[in-house]
This record gives sequence, structure tokens and C-alpha cells, in this order.
Amino acid sequence: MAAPVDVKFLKSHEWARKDRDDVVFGVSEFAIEQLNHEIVYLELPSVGQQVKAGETFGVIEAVKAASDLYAPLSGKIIAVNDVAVNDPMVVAQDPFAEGWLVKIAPSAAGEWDALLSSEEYTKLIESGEAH
Amino acid sequence: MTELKQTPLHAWHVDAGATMTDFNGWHMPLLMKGMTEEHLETRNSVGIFDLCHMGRVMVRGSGALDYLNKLTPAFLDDGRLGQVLYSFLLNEEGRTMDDITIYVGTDEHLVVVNAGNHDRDMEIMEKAARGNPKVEVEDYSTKWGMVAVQGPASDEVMHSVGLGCATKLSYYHHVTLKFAGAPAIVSSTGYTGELGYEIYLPWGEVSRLWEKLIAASAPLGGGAVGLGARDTLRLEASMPLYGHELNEETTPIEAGLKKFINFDKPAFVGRDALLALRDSGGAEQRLVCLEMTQRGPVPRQDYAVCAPDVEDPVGVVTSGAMSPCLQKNIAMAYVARDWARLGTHLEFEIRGRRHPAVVVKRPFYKRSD
Repeated sequence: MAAPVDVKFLKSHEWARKDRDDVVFGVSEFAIEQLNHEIVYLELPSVGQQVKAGETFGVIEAVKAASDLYAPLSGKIIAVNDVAVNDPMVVAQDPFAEGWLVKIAPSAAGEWDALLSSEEYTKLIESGEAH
Repeated sequence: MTELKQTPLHAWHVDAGATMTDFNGWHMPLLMKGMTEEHLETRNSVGIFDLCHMGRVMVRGSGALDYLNKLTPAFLDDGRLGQVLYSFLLNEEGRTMDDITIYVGTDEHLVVVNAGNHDRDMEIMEKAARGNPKVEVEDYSTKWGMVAVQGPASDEVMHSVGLGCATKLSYYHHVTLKFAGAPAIVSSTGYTGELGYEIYLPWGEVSRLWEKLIAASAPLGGGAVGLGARDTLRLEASMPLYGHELNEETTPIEAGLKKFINFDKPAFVGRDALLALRDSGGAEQRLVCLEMTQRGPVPRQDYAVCAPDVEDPVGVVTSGAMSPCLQKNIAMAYVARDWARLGTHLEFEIRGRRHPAVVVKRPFYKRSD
């Protein structure tokens, strides 16, 4: 399973991608596999809300369980993917592009460097120690 | 961790790429292709289920009917021959130790129990038979296996595998047929709310039957179904599941299953307590079916059920899911009886927020034929 090279990750399987000065969050394909590819509901913050790196910013629900979503970076929500909110299966089908979750204006420099690179994240998954 | 038990179909599931899970000590398929897809296939065509993990107990002897009459709240006599009775193992307080089915036969009676309660059920059943020379209780759980065929195309599948005679059975009846020379008990029963059959046969014959069932169901748009879809199917059909709607803290009366309690019998385990409960006006809580009235998060077991503008919860969710057929969030819940009437507006409390729901008729889903 190849992760895109332009994104960075949290161990808890959220990704972050730079979009000029903003940053987009999503969840990895591995997370989708863990959720058995069936996403039934997304609970995301509203535009204007603040999120903090490492803290929960929403919930993703599969058929069998609900999981917290953790913010890779701190900042203010400036956009929410309404397409995914209305049809959460978009996240399962295309987690790294169409299935993005929220866009933030980051507020803390330096947090980006603390995230796992695509290579480090892929190694973590392949080590079998991720869950 | 102790080693997980395997059904005769374990290798088949693994080869088929099933996502496996620990279910009450058994390594079982949670899903084959996808829970929603398997759910809809069962509703639209046919689903094949491996249920070998369930417990099976054979009760025989001249005193067997008498024994089962004293042990369970079901009424059994010779007139019940060929019927499948839904019943319970209760404790003296009338609370549910397990829900079971009893296959009333001529010489022997098959009792089917939940996998998670098997060991405790065996203790209860063996203890009740102790010192009674007229009854013999034998654990058949790994001697015979069990598979289910469920869905509107079930009859075609049963004909294809040479068990077509069973399609003449009335609902909740059984017959003993032959499959490839081996005996097979077939019943018109199930846990999905669909037309369907459950088939019991020797452990060593299960794989052969399974292969045939899968081959027969494929051209009809059906196939193997995992435990994930089994759960959403039974929830749509509002069928109780032990550990959720039924447990050691509640009685069948509050679960809305009073019709399965035969009070005319002079004695059965839990009778006095249930009689007292019935005569005092019934239980303080009732099991209800709830539908969320707008899109929202999924209600799940143990979430609070609240009433509008009332601070303290009035109930608790026992099972919930996004219903693949109704495309709504549905749940079963115990609520205080003042809040149990049809049409009552309630709320699910999920992660600190309340989401409107309404008490609806049981079952959520009823097949059209």
C-alpha cells in the first residue's frame, strides 16, 4: 500500500497536506482498512473552530465502531468537505483526495516537522505494529 | 490468550479473504466482501451463514419432554412434534440466562444455544438432569454443525442442494432429511426476518454442504455472509441478541417476549418470579424500537436515551446501527415504561449531544410476502 509522498502522518492514521499556506487533513488508506472500508458517518468541526495538534477534532464511524479523529496540526478550520459529510463512503473510496476531511489555517510553525514522513509512516504500517 | 476454536469452514473463510474476528472464543468471519453488501444480498437474494459456533445440545430419554417443561417456560408435549420452539433458560428470579430454540422430536430433542453461553448452559442443563434416569443430555456442539440459508431465493438454493423437501415446511417447523447419505435436520427458521432455513448435520459433512450452497447461491446473486451483516439483519428484524436485549439483569417480560412464557404450566424455573412481575403490572422498563428522525451519528449499545427537556436519561440503547435497508439510524433500547408508547419523542445522547428519535413499531423491517 503506497502512501502519497506529499503528505505527512500521525501514528493514529490522520494525514496532513500543504495547500499553499493552508493544510488539509484526511485519514489514511490503512485507517479505512481498519474500518472495514465502510464509513457510515462523519462528525467534523465547523468552519471557524480551533483545533489543536494531537487532540480530537471529530469522529469517523464505521458499521461496527466509532473512532476519534486527531488533528495533525493546530489551527482554525477554514473549510469542511461537505461532499464527504453527506456521503461518507467518499472517504473510504478515495481517502487521499476526494475524501479529505477539513482544511485549516495553521497557527503553530514547527508542528509540520514533527509529523511522520510518508516513508516513516509506510514503515510503521509495514512493521505490523500499527493499529 | 487461549487458542480460538475453528468451525469446519474456517479454512474456507480464510481462503475466501474474510475479515476474521474473535467471537465468543471462535475465530469467525466478520465480513466476506462488506457488511452492507452482504446484508443487501440476503435481503434481495440469498445469504449463506456459518453458524457452527453456536451450541447444540441433544436431550433424549422418556423423561425428556418433562425435563424441558420444568427447565424452560415453553410448553412441550407430543402435539409439538416437528415444531421449533423459541424459549429461554431462566434463573429463579426469572431473568434470562440464555435464549434458545428447542426442536421437538420423537426420541430426541435438539436445543440450540448461544456460543457465548454454551458452557454455562451445559452446566445448567446437566445439573437439572442429574439423578434423573429418564433423561440424558449430550453436548452436540462439535459433533454436529449448522449453517443457515436466508433470503427470498432460499427455496431455489434448497432445491439445488437436494433439500427441496424442506421448502414445504411451515414457519418454525423442522424435518429430518438426508444430505449425501447423512442425516440432516432442516428447519424453516432464521435470524434475519427473511424466508430461510437452518440446517444441522454431522460436523464432517458441513464443508460439503457449504460448497454446494455457495455454488447454488452464486448465480442468484448471493453468497457467504459474515457475523457483521448477521447482526444488522437481526436488528432490522428486531430480533433480540443475548448480551444486548437479553441478559442476566432483565426478564423476557420487559424484552416484550411474554408470549413465549407459558404460565399455564404448574412449574418451570423462574415461574414464581415472572408471575409476580406480571401480576404487579409488568416491568418498570420496556424494550422499544427507536428510529433517529434525522441524519446523525450511529446509536450504539450503552448510549443514553433521553426525553426532550428532561435532564436524566430515561433509558439505554441495547443495539444500534445504520440500517442498510431503511437508510436510517435504528436502535433497540430499554426505556422507562412511561416513555415506551409508540410515537413517543425521545433523544439519543451521543458524545454529549442529543439527537431526536421516535418510538416505532416492531419490527423495523418486515418482508413483503
